Amino acid sequence: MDNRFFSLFLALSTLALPATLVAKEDTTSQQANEPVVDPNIVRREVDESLIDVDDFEFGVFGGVMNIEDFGTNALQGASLSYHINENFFTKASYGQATAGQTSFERLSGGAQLLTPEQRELSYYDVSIGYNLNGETFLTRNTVFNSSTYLMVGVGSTQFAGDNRFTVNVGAGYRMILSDYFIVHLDMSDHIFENDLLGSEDSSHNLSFTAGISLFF
Amino acid sequence: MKQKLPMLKLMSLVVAICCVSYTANAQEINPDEHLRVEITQPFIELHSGPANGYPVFHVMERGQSVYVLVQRTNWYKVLTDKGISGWVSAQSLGTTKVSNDNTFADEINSVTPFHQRDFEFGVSAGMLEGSSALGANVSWQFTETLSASINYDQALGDVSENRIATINISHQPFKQWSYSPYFSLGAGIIDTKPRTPLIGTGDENRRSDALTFSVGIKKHLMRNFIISIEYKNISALTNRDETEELEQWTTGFSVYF
Repeated sequence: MDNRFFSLFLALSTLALPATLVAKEDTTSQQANEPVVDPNIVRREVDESLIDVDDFEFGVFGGVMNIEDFGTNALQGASLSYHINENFFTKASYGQATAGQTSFERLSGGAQLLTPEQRELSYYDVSIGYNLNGETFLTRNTVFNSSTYLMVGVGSTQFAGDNRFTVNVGAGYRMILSDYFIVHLDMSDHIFENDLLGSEDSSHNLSFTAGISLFF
Repeated sequence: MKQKLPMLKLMSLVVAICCVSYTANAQEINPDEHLRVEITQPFIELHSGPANGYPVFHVMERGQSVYVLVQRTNWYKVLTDKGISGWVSAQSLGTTKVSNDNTFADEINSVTPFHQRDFEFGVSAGMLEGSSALGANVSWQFTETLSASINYDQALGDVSENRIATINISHQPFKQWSYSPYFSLGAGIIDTKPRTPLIGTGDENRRSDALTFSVGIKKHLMRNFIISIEYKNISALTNRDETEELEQWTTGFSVYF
């Protein structure tokens, strides 16, 4: 008996369905009179400044530089990078350090090869870098995007009263802490020709620095 | 004492890291200040960082809308209504809708076409009479084919160091060509500083007027980068009887806006 009632009820409700559909059609036909796409919508002017373009990175760095024959000394400088795409970027940097004494000057007891003014070393260079992107897992729940990069560039070093053409080769590691804040470590070999001690020789000057940068 | 400075800097770095990483997480969204786009393709993938290698950790479907916050290279950081943010590539975001009949790619024409550029900043490297030369330049396009630029070149040789600063006018007749040639004329000054040997005095610095004529080829790379090759002929009008002529070959890389 129950089954019969149930099947009767089902049959009646299926017959009633078309009725509900018809009702819907009335409303849709009303809507069809209005255009679905209103051609009079005011075209929204997209202000390009709504989207922040963060391709430039400006930073400061400090560390040490070993000036060949003149000891290891503190180095500080600034850099400006421009990110081309996810793998390539260019970087212009400027650094300065003050050279110490050569072992000759120390052992000979007084003979000075350079005046204090000539001991100031400063360099600028423009390099291109290649990013190897990755992530760094500091703790179980803290992850930052990071990148190990290789760099090669050319520039000029002012030292001992002369401006020398310099090639720099190096690598670094960058950890991106937030949308705009970066911490990085860099190692770089600045190669230039130095004829200070008689013969013309390529001198390799290694620098090791840590720095912070901001994207803007 | 000087050796302690780097350590102090490192310490302050670590402190700065801790401060910034906690404050950077909160993000307030003001709808008027950010672009909202509606997704028209079946889905878009959000990566955890602005590169293809970063894993996809979230997907947004057709019909959903996201805010576009920041652009870095060709990646855009988007924010969903639920507060999830991730990076989407420019190609993925290109077909999303900004308004009824405009796509994201139509509206954000952030890359000015090569032949409509206004400003160009470039660096160059090459050889000037056998010594390495480095240079920088800024140029401004003031008519369709003519531009004015300020050039600074520095050639560091074994015997002397030359610095040349000039103002140039360039003409680029066939801008629509892929490899587009240009000619320029410039005037300025050239400083020659002979190298100082360790003992004894060297010659004094010489400053002369310089006239330059260059010819080169520019090629547009992706986005807004240009590479170029240039030959420059520099005539230094010295006080001596003869005009010194120097030849320089360089390759350059520049960015335009």
